[in-house]
Amino acid sequence: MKLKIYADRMSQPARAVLIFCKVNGINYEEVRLDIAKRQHLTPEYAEINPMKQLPAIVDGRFKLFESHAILIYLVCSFPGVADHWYPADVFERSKIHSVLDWHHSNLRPGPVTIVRNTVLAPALGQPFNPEAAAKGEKFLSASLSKIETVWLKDNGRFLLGRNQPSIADLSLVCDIMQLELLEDSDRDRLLGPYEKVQQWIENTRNATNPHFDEVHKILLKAKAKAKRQNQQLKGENHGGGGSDMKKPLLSRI
Amino acid sequence: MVIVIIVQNNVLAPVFRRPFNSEGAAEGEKLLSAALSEIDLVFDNNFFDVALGRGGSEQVIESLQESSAVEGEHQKCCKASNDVKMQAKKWRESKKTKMKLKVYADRMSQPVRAVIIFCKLNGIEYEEVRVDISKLQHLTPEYSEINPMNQLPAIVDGGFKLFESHAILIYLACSYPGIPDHWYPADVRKRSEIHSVLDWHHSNLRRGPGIIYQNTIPVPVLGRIFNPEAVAEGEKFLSASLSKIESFWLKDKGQFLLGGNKPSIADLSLVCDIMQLEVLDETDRDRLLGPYKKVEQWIENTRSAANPHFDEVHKILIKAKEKRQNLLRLKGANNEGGGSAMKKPWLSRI
Repeated sequence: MKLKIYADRMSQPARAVLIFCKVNGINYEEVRLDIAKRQHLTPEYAEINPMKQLPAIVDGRFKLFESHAILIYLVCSFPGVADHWYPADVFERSKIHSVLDWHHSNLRPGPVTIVRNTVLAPALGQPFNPEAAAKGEKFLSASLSKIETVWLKDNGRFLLGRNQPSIADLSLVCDIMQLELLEDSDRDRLLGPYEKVQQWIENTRNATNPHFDEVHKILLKAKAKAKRQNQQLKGENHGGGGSDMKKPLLSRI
Repeated sequence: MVIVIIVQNNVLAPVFRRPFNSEGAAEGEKLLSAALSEIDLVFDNNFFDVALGRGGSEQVIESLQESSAVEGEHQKCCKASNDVKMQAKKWRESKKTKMKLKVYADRMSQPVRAVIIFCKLNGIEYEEVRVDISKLQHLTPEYSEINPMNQLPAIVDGGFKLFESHAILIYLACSYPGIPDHWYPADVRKRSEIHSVLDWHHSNLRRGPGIIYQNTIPVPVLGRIFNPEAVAEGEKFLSASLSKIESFWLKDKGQFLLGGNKPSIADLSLVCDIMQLEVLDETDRDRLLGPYKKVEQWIENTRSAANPHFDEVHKILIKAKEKRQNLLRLKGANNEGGGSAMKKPWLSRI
């Protein structure tokens, strides 16, 4: 039986798992669930993941959820996955665990909070909440600052001074990519102060392309749709943003 | 040959249809150490070459093929064999260094307690370096050198620094000899399920007791005041998490999470978080935990499995509770007893 991945590509951790499989030639069947249509809340899906979140996998009869656990399982269970994704060396591996654990309570809440309370609010049937978004921005900035000064402090193209990507790079970058849903000017304002972070995102994208771009295409469509919805709601012309900063990644896909 | 003795009694035991034999594996480790002291760390490359799919001696290939009927399972065992290589390397590293493991700790911190109890239970020698959060010692430049995130716990093992308690527990389980497999199983699927619990914990259970505790116990120097709204929010979060533990993580027959009959690092980590509720009044604590009978039993099971160290490490919570109650008495509030008919909390049984 082929590996099944239950995914909505709007979910950052789902994208990390999909990209990982594609990059490493792991055969799978993508079972698409639409969070906006509440398909993750059905009794059928609760049989797969009683926590009703995405992603989840089924490998034979083995069910697993939580993206970090899934990524580690895939590394350890499928042949031919290069060591740099999750090194056998216990010191390197422990550092990667440290990043992944830090991520849960630090980077992950930031982009999610911002987009849920701004561009994605109508799609989720919620009101705009600029206060919550502002809190999310503060949280995000603190996390990006830590990535810039701690996780990227050594001379390496990836986190922890490494020259090849690990599952930690893929997981964290996919989270930051959620900011691509914002207006260009907002995204640039949030990421602009962090040069190392921007370069690291580009490095991770290059290391996993063409799959990275292909999996992230959904954000382009979602951004355009959200813009139309927001324009209808606000009755304004948002335009292009006019920012001089580096063009966001989605416009280069 | 000694490597075969180790792996056949440890990670590859299921492949060769043998029971796990920690004594046999330990004997193998002793023989290996003697060999390693004289040879370069190359091992018997034939065995690992086969395990890693790079060819090798026909005899080894044949024995592996006979023992594994399913290609997928073979691949899993191949990956698991890396753990043995890893363990041997770490064992060798631990022989080289004369420096004791340092654990930077404040026992008021739930994840700190999990790490300390794990070390005590498994006979891991360490030096506990006390860092008092209430005195802001975790924010000093000196401590930032250890952990730039300024949180506890952190460890320094020789020259190796590490923070985040789950990463630390996994590192200790993989790096120190003689730790029983049930804490962090070599089996990929069992291990993955433990990762799943630990990850879920970050975004779910961990937040509940922490939010309640931090908004109930005032610590002015940390900017913490009594905040009933935040407490109510924390209680809601906690109840949702406890409900998931009761109905899912403890759904199978077993004394511990995931239907296990022995504790894992996940049990220790989650139970230490829930123990933070012990600083509350008994009526509040009982109100929060009372609906969850399996959870209460599981906490007791974990405590029993980890005693006497569990009780010893948690004594600090008794003192914190007494201090809080004295403070409230001074302010004239009546917080004693509560008249609850529910089971006495664990701290009063220590």
